[in-house]
Amino acid sequence: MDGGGPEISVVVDGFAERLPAGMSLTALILRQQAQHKDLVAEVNGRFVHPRDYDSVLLNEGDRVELIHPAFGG
Amino acid sequence: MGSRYQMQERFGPWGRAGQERLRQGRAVVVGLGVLGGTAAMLLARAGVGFLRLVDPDHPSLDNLHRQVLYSEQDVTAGRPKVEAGAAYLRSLNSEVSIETHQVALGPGNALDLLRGCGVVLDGLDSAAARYLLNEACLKLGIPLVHAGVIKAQGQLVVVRPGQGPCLRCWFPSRREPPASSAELGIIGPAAACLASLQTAEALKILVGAQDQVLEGLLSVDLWPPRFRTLEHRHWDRQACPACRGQYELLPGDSPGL
Ligand SMILES: [Zn+2]
Repeated sequence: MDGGGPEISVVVDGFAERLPAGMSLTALILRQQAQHKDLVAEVNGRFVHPRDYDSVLLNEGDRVELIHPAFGG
Repeated sequence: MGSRYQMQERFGPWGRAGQERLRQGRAVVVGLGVLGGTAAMLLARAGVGFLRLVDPDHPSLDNLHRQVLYSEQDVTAGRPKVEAGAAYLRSLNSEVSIETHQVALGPGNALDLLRGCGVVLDGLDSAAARYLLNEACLKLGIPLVHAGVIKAQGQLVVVRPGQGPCLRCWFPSRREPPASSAELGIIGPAAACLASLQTAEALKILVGAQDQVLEGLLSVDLWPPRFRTLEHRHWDRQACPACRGQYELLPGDSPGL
């Protein structure tokens, strides 16, 4: 685990994760191996615009969905 | 003797009335790869009245594991996708009127290629082309059924111009993903799944079941299986240039409204 500070429990893509308290959505996206930042993010059922990823801080019990758009066809 | 379409007409929400609306319906499929080709096949079998096919390319051998309109002979003969596709679709259903355009969607032709249709199906294979298609649909006020696929996953969005988020609202970066399907691969069942979901949405629009159309973004992953629907709450038309009528990809256009 990173550091020894307080942790929160967040559900990311359906799986419970222990994360450092106060983690931003940007930090979570980096943590989740995300190959790139251009994804569709939703926190607690609400779409988050990429410009807000830095300012959205995760809280205990939050549910986060991260989707990498697919543009093949 | 039963009618050709009796099995789908027996589906209550569709019915005879829906079938008649479908017979009078007009759809355009932009891009005839796995998404567009599969969708075109399902639309033709279902009895859509008019189908416009748009694609600049020829099928290649490495398309055949997933693309349903083409045969090895089409590849060998070097037939354009629209030509081979139209021939196959006519053999499936001679009642469908099919129009072909062997061109790539571009800023200069997008509006003409879509005009007059009641629904647009996105069968493209790049983000850039999709943002252009998005703008053209918004400008013309035609519903756009978007799907995209890569690896074993993809997503579906129905854009209802002026009534909800567009592709740019969902994917604001407008950047191409760093890796394409050519690099990451794509499997037939995932693509067929997305194409099937996409066609269902287009058919709802054509048969007049607008209230049943997908809201939000449906994300599909087959490996492992997972379906998710994301909502775009608090859609703000004014926050999106395309939604407020500022078309940056279409030529010679002054901001609307
Ligand atoms: Zn928009």
